[in-house]
Amino acid sequence: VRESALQLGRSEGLQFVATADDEGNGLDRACSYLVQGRVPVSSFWTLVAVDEAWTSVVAPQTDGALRSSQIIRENDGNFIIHVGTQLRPGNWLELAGEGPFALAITLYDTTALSGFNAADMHMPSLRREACR
Amino acid sequence: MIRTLLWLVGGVLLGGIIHLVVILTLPQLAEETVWTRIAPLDADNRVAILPRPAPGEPNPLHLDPELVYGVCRLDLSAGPGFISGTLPDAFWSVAVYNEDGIVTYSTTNRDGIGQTLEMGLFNAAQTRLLAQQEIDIVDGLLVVEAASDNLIVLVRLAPPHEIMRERFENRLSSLRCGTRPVT
Repeated sequence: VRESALQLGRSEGLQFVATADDEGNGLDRACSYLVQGRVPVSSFWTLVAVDEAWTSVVAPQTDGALRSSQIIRENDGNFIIHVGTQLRPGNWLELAGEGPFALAITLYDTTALSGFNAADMHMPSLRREACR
Repeated sequence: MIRTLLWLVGGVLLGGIIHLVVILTLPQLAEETVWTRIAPLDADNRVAILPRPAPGEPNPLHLDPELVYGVCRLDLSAGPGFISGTLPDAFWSVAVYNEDGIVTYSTTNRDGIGQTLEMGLFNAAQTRLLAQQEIDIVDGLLVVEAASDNLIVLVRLAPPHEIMRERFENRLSSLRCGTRPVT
């Protein structure tokens, strides 16, 4: 896609963008979401929330992103990340404002899609929780 | 009847050609490209640090707020380009973009180059000189061949903690970048 953005080179990593949850409903800041599971092997990854113009919608007083080294994981290695404007326990990507948004997860130095098979392609699920 | 049909087929063909030409030239007609967005940063032959995207502010380059970005613009018509220096012991990667903003080469520090970045960029004519050993290069130089003269070199550096960000930015801006005329 030509967006005059600084895209990642093939060996640098991969970026995945979600604009809808697992049921196909568009992501909206009126709702809370649950990102659960694991991602393909990578050196580290970051999770950000942006609007259509790629303006960050993460709450201003926070770091602006969640990073793989900052989150708490379950015993089996999976993670549970809450995303939304409403206060949540555990890993929480706090959002600000209203309206639709997109979640972008960037895997740096990843092995995903680098081989001949896609066996390593585990992507987390994205479920909607309560809405205001 | 035949004549009408011929006109019709001709019209469709012509329309198809115009359509294809317009679609294929549109990217070149774009006014905002990576090249023009980098232009105001004064990054010609030096490494400029890209400002960190703040929440609520536009982020047209899609920068990751967790990373530090150093960018350098090179024009190989002045001579082979280079970027060199040492970087902190953390994840970093280098990407070479052409004028259209397409990555033509990329690598990470996991590919056995450790903390030292020594990269030389050569256009087709300079690559030929290099093969004929007309250009002297240091041992271990990462040789990158470029198809065009105007290039953007982008170094991504990932500070492990927020508190290291400023120090990492300083290390990144101390990288040397530029062109060396062929003597």
